[in-house]
This record gives sequence, C-alpha cells and structure tokens, in this order.
Amino acid sequence: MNATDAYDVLVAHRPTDEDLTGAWTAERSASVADSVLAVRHSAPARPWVRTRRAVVLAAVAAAAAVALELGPGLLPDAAPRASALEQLAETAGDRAPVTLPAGSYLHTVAREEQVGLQRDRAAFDMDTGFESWTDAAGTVWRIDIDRRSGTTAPMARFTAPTPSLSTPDVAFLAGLPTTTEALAAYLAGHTEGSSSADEAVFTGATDMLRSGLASPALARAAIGALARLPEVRTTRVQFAGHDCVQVSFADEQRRAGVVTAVYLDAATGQPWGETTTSPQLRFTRTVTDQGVVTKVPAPVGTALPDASEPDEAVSGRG
Amino acid sequence: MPPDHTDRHTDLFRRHAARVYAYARRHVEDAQCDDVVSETFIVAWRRPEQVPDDPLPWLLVVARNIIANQRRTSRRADQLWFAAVREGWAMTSPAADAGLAERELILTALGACTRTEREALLLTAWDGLTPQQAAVVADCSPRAFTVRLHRARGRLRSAVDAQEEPRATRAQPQPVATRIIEESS
Repeated sequence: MNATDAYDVLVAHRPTDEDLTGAWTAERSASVADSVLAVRHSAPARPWVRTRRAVVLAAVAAAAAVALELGPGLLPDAAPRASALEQLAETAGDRAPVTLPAGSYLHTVAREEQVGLQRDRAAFDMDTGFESWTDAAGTVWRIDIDRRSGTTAPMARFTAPTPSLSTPDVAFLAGLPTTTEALAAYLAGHTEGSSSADEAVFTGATDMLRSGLASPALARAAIGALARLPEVRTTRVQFAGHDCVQVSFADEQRRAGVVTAVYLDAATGQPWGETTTSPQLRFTRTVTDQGVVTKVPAPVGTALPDASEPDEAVSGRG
Repeated sequence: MPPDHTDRHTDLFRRHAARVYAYARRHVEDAQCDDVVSETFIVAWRRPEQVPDDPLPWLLVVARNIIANQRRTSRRADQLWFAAVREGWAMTSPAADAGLAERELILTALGACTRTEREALLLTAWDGLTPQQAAVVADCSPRAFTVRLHRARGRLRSAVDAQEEPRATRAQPQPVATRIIEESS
C-alpha cells in the first residue's frame, strides 16, 4: 500500500459494469426499464417531472393498528372535498401557533413502516422509528431506531444548507404567502419534479404541514391550496387514535394505483401521519407524539458535527 | 416521439442505468434506487434536447436532484456510501484476506474525509468522471472541484498512512467506525 497512492487503489477497485450486475441485475434493470417505458407510452407529458414516490420508499411506517383502523374500504373514496377542506382550513387557522423561542425545540416521535407487496417485497420491508428535536433555525437532532433489529443509530444533527419547503425553518415559512390564492401561486411556481404540477403542489403543501412549524395562517392557506387540486379527495377517518380528515391525492393517469394521503386532525389541523400505497408497497408514517420541549437530551445535543458545514466541522480529524 | 428518439433513449438506459444506480446507491437506500433510476431516465425521456452527447454527468445531476427532492431531513445518508463502497468494491487481489484488509483500510480512510471530499473522490474514482464533469455533479466550479479533489486525495493518503503505522502491531485490520453525519444535499 505504501508504494501505491490510496486514490489509485480506490480507482483500481472501481466496480466494472460487469461487477455492477451483481446488484443491478438484468432482471432489475428490465423491471426499471419497463417502468420508464410505461411512462413513455402513457405520458406525453409536461416539460418536467418530479419524483415523489420515493417519499414513500424513503420513509415508512405504519402502525399496524392504523391500517386496521382505516380499513381498505375507507381509503380513496371521495367526499365533498371542498367543503371539508375549507372547514379544516378554518380550523387550522384558529389553532394556537407553535412558537419556538431560543432554547426550545419541536419534539417529534414517529414510527415508519413500509411493506412490500410484490415478489421483491423483502427489499421494501422496513419498520423503523425516529425521535427528533427541531429548533427555529431548522436544525434537526435525530435518532433513528430499527424496530426489527432493535438497534438505535447514533444521534445525528442536520441543518439544511438552504431552507426549503421540505426542510424549512421558521423564518422561511414566515416569508411565505398566507392567502390561499397567493400560496397556491407560489407553490405552482416553486415546486417541480413531481409527475404533475398538481402533485408537486400537493407535496409542497403537505411538506409544510408535516414540518409542524407552519403558522396557523400558513396552514390555513396550505389546506386551502390542497382544496383546489382536482385530484384531492377527503375522508373522515380514525388515524392512530385521532379523529382525522384523510386528504388523499391520486392521479391514475400518471401514477396508476398510487395514492398518497396525509391525516390532519379534524379538531386542530395538526398532521398525525401519512400513507402511500402503490402496487409495490404500502408506507405509513405515524406521529405518536409531538410538542415543544426546552432541551435536547445531552447525548444528542452535544459534540455533534454539523453536516451542513462538513469541511469546517471535521477539520482537524483524520 | 419519433422512433430515433425512442431508440436513443433505450440505448441511453442500456449504457448508463447501471452507473446511475451505482451513484444512487451511495445516497439512498437500495430499495429506493430503482425509483431514482427510473425517474432519472423519465426526465431524460421528457427532455431529450437537454441530454448532452456525453450524458453520464448530466444523468447524475438529474439523479442528484431527484434524490435531494426525495430526501427528508432525516436520511442516514452517511451510512449509505459506506455500504455501497464496501459492496461494490471490486476484488482484484489474488489473496482474499489481503484484498479485504485493503478494502477496510480504504474505507476507514474514506470515513476520515469530509462528506464533500469523499464525494469528490468517488465521483472521479468510482463514477469515472473527469474533474470537469464531476464539478457539474458537485455543483461547483471546476477550479473549486480540483482544489477539493486535491485536498481529498491528501486526506485519504494521510488517513491510510495513519492506519498503517499502528497496523503493524495489530493482528487484524480494525473494522471501520462509520461516522454518522447527515448529508445535506
């Protein structure tokens, strides 16, 4: 090793195309190619696309009890969505704001479960949980738990380099429009990458709500924006023990068999979770506890490198 | 779409899907990689005019953006590169033990690099990009990337050297202690 530069060693062990077929098998490649082909055939398309399906893939979680509570028959049936969402928007607008003064954190405990539904189901199955603490600047301290193995990952701290709809901080959200019309226009102009413009708006609006940091006025506008989407349906359900409005999005033409839903507390508008079902898998995230606390547990909050400044954070190491 | 576009796209997938997968594997769970690859080539299908003659860097940028869109604040991305490199490591040494020791040595050294340094190393050494191409994927100027890569190579070398001294007194190479740092992009 001393005679050879470490970088050259790395280069020498680069996997060849043939090596990659160990994981990227011909069958797997063909399956993905088929999915691309299906879009080619079915979607003449907008000039852009965005993936959201992996939200599902990425996360997980669904208390089995939740699935039982919902029942398959309740899922995507439509209800008078406009009136239900308008009422919910007003409810959310009247909710007491979540404030995070210096030294306080939004504490969230959640479970994420994902179940594969097809032959490669083992690749999708996951049962995890996490506990996180978020401050007003959007910094997140988080611990992940693999519920199947019982292992707990070391705590990590994360700060998004740029606040966004999916990684917001309080200031970012405070700068967003708080009327339905203006927020809908903002989302239409600032979200991209989904299968459709409406799906992107749905994702952006639910990202804001999921963060738990949206002001009541912003939450009202976000729910109002959801009410404008023709693909959105609502159903009153029990979710994780809460009386919720299930707000689901389905676009059979672009994503056949895929339904994404968020569950908003009927009395407050607070999000308690989300589900995504597709022909390949079912994903559920359930928030089991959320509230403002004044400290991050010591082992979590101390001496952690900040990934948003990797160079500085690790200087002196190695 | 005209047939030549369809053929070109099919050929694009055949030639580059595995490399897009390998890139995705370092940043998302394996179960998510198919989606990333699929979405990447759907973008290419929908934006044929944007696909350059040398398409891999462009495809990796698309994949990078898709991954960024997907990721929540909570992905354990820093663990993913480790598994991806370990699994993808092409064994070239005739002696299995020596090959494994070498792999662990480099993995440990990569773990001593910063996230951006490590990505610079892997974009060039493993994804096979030139520094100019890798700069596009890393979203920085070629000059900045070159400096980063130079620094990364130095850190990698130092980390290997640091291990080899004490290693002489150890019977077996030590397992890598992966640092847990979230990726931010």
